[in-house]
Amino acid sequence: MSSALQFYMSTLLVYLGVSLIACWALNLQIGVTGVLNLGFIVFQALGAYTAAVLTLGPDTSNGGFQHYVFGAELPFPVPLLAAAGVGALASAGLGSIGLRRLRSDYQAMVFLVAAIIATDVATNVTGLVNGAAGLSLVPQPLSANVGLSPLDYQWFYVGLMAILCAVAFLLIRRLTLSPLGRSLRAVRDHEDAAEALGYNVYRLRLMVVVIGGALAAVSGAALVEFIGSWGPGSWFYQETFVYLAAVIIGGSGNNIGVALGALIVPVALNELPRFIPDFGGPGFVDAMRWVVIGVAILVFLYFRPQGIIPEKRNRFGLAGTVRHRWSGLATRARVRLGR
Amino acid sequence: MDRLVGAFGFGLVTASILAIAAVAFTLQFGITNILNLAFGEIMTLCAYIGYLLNAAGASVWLALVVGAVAGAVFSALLNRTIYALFVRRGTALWGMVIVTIAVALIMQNTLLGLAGPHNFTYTIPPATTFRFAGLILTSLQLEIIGVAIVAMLTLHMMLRYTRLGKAMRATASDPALAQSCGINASRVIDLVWIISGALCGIAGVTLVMNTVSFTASTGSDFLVVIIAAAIVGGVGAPYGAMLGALLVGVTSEVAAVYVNASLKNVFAFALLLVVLLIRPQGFIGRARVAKGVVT
Amino acid sequence: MSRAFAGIHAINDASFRVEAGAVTALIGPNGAGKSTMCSVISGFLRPDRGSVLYDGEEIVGCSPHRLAARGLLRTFQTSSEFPRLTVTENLLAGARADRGTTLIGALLGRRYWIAEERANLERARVLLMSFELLNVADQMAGMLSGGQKRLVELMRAIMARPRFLVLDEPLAGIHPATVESVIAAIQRLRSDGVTVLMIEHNLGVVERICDRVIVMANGSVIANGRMHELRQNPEVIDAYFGN
Ligand SMILES: Nc1ncnc2c1ncn2[C@@H]1O[C@H](COP(=O)(O)OP(=O)(O)O)[C@@H](O)[C@H]1O
Ligand SMILES: [Mg+2]
Repeated sequence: MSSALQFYMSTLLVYLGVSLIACWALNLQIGVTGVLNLGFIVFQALGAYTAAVLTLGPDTSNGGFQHYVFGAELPFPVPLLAAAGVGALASAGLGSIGLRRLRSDYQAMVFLVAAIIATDVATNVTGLVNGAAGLSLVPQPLSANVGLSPLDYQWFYVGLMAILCAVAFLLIRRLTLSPLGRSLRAVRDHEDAAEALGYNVYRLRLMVVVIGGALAAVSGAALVEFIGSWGPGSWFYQETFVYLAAVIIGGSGNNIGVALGALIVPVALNELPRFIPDFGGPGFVDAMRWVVIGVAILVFLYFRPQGIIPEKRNRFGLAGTVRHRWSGLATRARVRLGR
Repeated sequence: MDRLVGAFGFGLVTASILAIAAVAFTLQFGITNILNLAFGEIMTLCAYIGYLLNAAGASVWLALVVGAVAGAVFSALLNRTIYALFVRRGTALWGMVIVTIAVALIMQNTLLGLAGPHNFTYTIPPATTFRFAGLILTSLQLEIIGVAIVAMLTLHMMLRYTRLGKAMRATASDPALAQSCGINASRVIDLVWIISGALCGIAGVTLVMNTVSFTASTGSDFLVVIIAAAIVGGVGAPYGAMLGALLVGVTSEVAAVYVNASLKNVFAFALLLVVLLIRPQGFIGRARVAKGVVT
Repeated sequence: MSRAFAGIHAINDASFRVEAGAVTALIGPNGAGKSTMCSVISGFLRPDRGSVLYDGEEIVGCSPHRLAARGLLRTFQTSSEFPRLTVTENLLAGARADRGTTLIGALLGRRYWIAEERANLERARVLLMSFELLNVADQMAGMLSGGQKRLVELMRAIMARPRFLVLDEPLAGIHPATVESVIAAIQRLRSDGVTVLMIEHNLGVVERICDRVIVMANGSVIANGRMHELRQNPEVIDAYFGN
């Protein structure tokens, strides 16, 4: 591979990693629990800002050309972890108000409005995160320590991303395959029935909003540490719908399906337009990108709401025809029952 | 003090436009159970159609009428061609939210792609200024307030005193029961989309008459305050929406003067959060509790 | 207690006691306020006035999940299975899983909660066998027939080990051949010391399995006693049998 191509491929892989983490987190909320968090992107943005200001140092550095709060120069991976914490706290705050006592479509609306408002705040309160211009010149983590050539550093970062993705995947997998995951799906399927069986629906929803918020923040932190800049234009509220489309198209509720969606939708929609000659005036191709996302969501919701790879049916084989995939779970139940 | 009164005047104008929009938004939800997040886009579309007429030399009042008609036709069509299909398919409530947001995405960006990322400006004859009790309002602003009052009164009469109004309220509280009482629910729903669509068109054109210029995202930006007004008043409750519009409109304009004009939506949102904390059913929301919007 | 919806008095000064350890029927014509009563007892609706005592304690204002944790379980009149969970999973969702349903427990992994899961699975299997539903154990609950869904809901509630079980029309839509297994299940619950309050229209069934009967009409309790006594009561005959 030529080095230009390697640069392109490794950058693409980092983006893929970011969207994988984000889509798994969003799927935990929407696909597994049925919490339509239309403000998801805010938590990614918050993670990115947190990591950026905690890496950049005090805002007097770099000649003080950008103004922001809480500037500090903390070693990697502290900014990443701090981002997760801030993401969790912020989503707990919004969730504890927005999820209270409202019907699910109302909850969605509150999250959506919060996302639009958050952009307003970040853009117009200039001292917060440098307003509309956003933050830039965020140093790449460990780049001074590892002493790699720019190209090798790209692949080094791909490795970091792979580790993050693996951790996120294992975490989400443990959650979704456990009895807790079953409770979450019960909440999604029938909230009153779940409540009647003793599940605290509000707390379960808040839990996935917080876990998802922390993961979203990590994805944002990993992205900003790589690309080095972040501003209001990076997280317009509509960006949530890219991930939403990925979850719906890939297969909501299925982590593998969602990974496929994360590969197809964000990467394809962000990358393919690069190869399309600009036509139809300024911004036309970009606008059409959103139209394509909207149409794709509608088409899938209508013709294949379960997505490309549907949620897996969890067979326990109590009837004795199939064995459960976890070593002999049902078999042993049978043995104890004397069969 | 003068600044406060002045801001209050602006607030009244904003509240008037907001009332038209929020009532229509809440009517759609209350009767058809669809939270139409493409509402802002239909406002923009109507404003754009009005702009095309206005640019061709028509007066803004003609633009207003045509905008209302366009809103009615487009809303009814949108329901018939897309929303109703998903409802029939049994799409869940939050699935419908995704459908409406996808439609919003398609509409806004089609308009953006076709018309371009420009500021479109209405040509409006210079207005005379009126002062009374410290309020300073232009004749245009007074006319906008007048349009809102007429629209609200007409709607009130219709909901209260006509058979259609009764049928609408019956359908809202229990569509199956209404159907069995001989009400043609699907016709009522069509009429709801037509009426609320017309109000949506009026809101779109008056919004732009007030701000003079607009872009492809003007309507969706306004959706934030519409949602705030609707929730503050108690979603699905038309009179609540009027009250919510007044509260949100005045609060955000006063905040715009005293704090920062670009943050006025933030104050609308803060009001929304406070209301959610202390009174999640909104100010006029008793019926909503029964409908399961709030538990 | 009383409870109104937008002017309709769904419950109008109704008052009754349910005896612990007995099976009590709640009967009455449609719209009498029976389902509303269920929802108020189980914490889904707040009464406008009045109180609900459970074990002598006021429970108005308690959320449904807290009541469920104290053994007060209810089923719904409309089928309310978890459609995208399998039948087995529906049952398991009803069972208490104190280790596996906490966040820490889930993250600790299978080894931490598997014993509990196995025990619950065993109970699910026994229940499914008694209702002859083992053959659909791995089907999505949403694909079942209406009657089967009701059974799943009943089994799910039983899995939760209720002390007081409120059943809203458990026999509606159930295949006649299966009615007997539901009756047997309710009788088994009684012999296990569970208190049952069931809404039921089939008076033959009520007479067979219920110790006491409460009759509601227009939001009020009009009679309360044994079935054979009530058959004589003119007010009941007028409101219910004459309907
Ligand atoms: N959520 C609700 N909103 C409005 N009216 C309701 C609601 N639930 C029940 N009602 C009314 O309350 C009365 C009692 O209903 P219900 O308790 O379901 O009766 P039953 O179960 O005895 O048939 C009926 O007139 C019904 O129309
Ligand atoms: Mg009933």
